Amino acid sequence: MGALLSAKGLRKRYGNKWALDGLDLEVTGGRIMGLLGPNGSGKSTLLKIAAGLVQPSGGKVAVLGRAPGRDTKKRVAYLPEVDCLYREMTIRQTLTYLSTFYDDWDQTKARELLEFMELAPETRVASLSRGMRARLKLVLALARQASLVLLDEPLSGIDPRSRSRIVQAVVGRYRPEEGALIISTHEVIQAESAFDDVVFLDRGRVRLAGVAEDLRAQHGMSLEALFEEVYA
Amino acid sequence: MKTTVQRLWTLLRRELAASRSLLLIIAGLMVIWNLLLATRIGMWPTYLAESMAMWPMFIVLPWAAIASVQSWHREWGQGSIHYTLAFPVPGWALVATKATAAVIETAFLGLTAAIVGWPLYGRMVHGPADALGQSVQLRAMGITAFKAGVMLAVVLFVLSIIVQLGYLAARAARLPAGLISPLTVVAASWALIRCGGLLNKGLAWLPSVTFWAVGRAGKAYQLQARPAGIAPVVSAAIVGLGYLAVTAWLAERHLDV
Repeated sequence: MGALLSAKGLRKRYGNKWALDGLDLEVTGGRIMGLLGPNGSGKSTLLKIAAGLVQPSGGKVAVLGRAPGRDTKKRVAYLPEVDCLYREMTIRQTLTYLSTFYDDWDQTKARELLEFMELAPETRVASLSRGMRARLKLVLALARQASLVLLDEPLSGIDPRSRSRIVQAVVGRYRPEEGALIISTHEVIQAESAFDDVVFLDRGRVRLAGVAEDLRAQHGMSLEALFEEVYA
Repeated sequence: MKTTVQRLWTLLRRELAASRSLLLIIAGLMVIWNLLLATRIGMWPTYLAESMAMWPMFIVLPWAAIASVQSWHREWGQGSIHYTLAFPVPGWALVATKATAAVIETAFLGLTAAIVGWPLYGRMVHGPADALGQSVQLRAMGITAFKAGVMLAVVLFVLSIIVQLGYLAARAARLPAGLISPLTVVAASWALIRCGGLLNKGLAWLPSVTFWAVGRAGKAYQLQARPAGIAPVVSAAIVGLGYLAVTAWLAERHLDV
């Protein structure tokens, strides 16, 4: 299977700061990849470029074999890090609104996810707590049968007790069969059981990458401990 | 599978829903303004309160521009721009639905101002209009209002696109909007006038439309035909389509969220 996301010498500059500085990466299907790194390491920028929300300054990037654009957006699901929901809508209206734009929207999956996340469809988005809004964003991203799912800090705002349950659900029930799921996070301890592959980013470049199991075996420590060591 | 029309309709409905509260507040203020003026009749000089009832209509032109900027600004403010720009819809659909919403909102406010102010400012035209007879004046006013409304809608649509171009150009350039937006709007308006002027000459063969106005012939009132060429509006629409293409290209290819 070809790469679902590939980047070669990818660069992105904001003002005089390089958010991505010659990043090389390849993501293949059927895998869950953890994109790890401290703030400012380039995780969000990479995901936004893949989602078609940010234009690269240099290098090459291909999503499903094409440059990010209208065609790739049809098959890429993206969960933004920021609070970005439509406050004037109810949960049901939000789902209906987004479903209009995607042919791969799965209504059954959306209903199931709402139940799992304990969200009532008639609740107004404006009245949701931060944690509930984070769950709703997860529903919106996972309710599609997308080839590439990009989750930018999906656990941010969710209470620690629910994080593991949600991660297990993502791994067990919403694992992509042919597509790939990329999770950017610095909440490594709760998410590490989900990762097949891991990429550590630092100042816009890949610092360390590999199969999660191999990295644990090679370094004799958990990914959480490895994270602390890499960025010490 | 959803069609393009369904997606455009969904975008448009969302735009209108997002502005609904603000529009209702402004409409309410118009009602309050007119009630206040009604209490001043007889106390203020003749026709002062009546003519002031028309003031809310002056919101019409600026509102198309305000609504266009407000729409994009709201997207960035509440973060929904992350979803909007991730939709697999062409840039022109985003820009055109925002322009259409701006025109509809402006029409709503214009009609509201006209209707709630009519009992007051209508007193100034009752005399001449009554002299023509109800059926004649209603027909003439209806036809003229429809034609003027269509032509104004085209102009407002183009105005909205120019304002959106200014806003998105500043976003794409990552420079202060206070500097780039006005410069872009001024440059685009200047180019519209220049290119529109050239097109206008080429389109002079287009037919005119007739507006009806109440005029005086001696002491008697009568409906008078006032022909107006549609070439300037068609020229503006053609240049506006060019701006739509540029704005759509900016929205789809040059924005960083």
